Amino acid sequence: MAGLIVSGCTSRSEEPAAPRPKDPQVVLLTSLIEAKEQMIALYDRGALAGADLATALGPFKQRHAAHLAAFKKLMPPGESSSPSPSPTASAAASPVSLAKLRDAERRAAAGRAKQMAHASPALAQLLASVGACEAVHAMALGVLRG
Amino acid sequence: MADPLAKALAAEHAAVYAYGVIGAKTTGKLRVKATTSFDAHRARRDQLRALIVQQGGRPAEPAPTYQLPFVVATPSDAVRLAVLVEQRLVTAYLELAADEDASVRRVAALAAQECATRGYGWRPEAVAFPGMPGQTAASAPTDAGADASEDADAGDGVAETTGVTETPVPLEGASAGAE
Repeated sequence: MAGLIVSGCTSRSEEPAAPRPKDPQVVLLTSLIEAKEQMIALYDRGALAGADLATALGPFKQRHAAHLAAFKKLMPPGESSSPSPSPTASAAASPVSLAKLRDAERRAAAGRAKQMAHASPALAQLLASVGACEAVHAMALGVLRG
Repeated sequence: MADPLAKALAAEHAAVYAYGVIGAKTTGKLRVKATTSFDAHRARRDQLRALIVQQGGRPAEPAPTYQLPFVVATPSDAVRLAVLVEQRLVTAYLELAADEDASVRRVAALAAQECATRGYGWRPEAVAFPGMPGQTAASAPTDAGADASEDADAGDGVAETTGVTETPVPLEGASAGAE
């Protein structure tokens, strides 16, 4: 439970009497949720490449949706869990390749350890598990044929 | 409550033992995979030992023998055991992931990913939350139709209940593959 997180960017001069500082845990969760939503949107675009592929990618997307739900569950009540406007509608136009999905999974998995450093114990465990799933995804996507 | 670091070490000791058995019951490609896994777990075991020493603790030695969750007679049994071993390790590493030392968390995160992918290499099944209770691969959809599957009455239990456990009594037959 380190308290050494907030890299408070030194504000120049007149900061409007800052509303209570954001709980670092909430900040982390917010970014996790955002990144997961982007991952899910990326899978939607991956599915555009063909019906067979869409079917194959379905379970992957479902597991990401489960991760998203788990992150949202850890968000303290009263915090807006998803401020980001859903990117799906506009960005869904262009398909993405399996290689791109695989790359996204790899990067997501690789980033987990760092995120865990300042997470609550429960969130750290969740992130370790989610990262393991993403690492498996990266491997599994390598076997899929586009 | 048992120290998660000690528990992870115990799980790696058990994994090294199990892979000795797995190696003895497989041939060809599976055998190679078993050997690679054996080496990887030995390396993790040594890393955990070092961490424990670094923290002023005394790493436990492996048990003289281990109770396997079922008789390993065929290559298919061996694969099933390998999958269980990896699942059990992921669970152990999730526990370690809550450690207050960030560097220990890091080791846990990487090891959990390694074990999960290695498990997938033995049997290509994915779950949303590897290592969490109730996440046996048997109940999950299979993504890729790949090699090493067998009839799946496998893991009805949760990982913790089906793993390789220390046994105080020497186990006849199980010694065949150790080493």
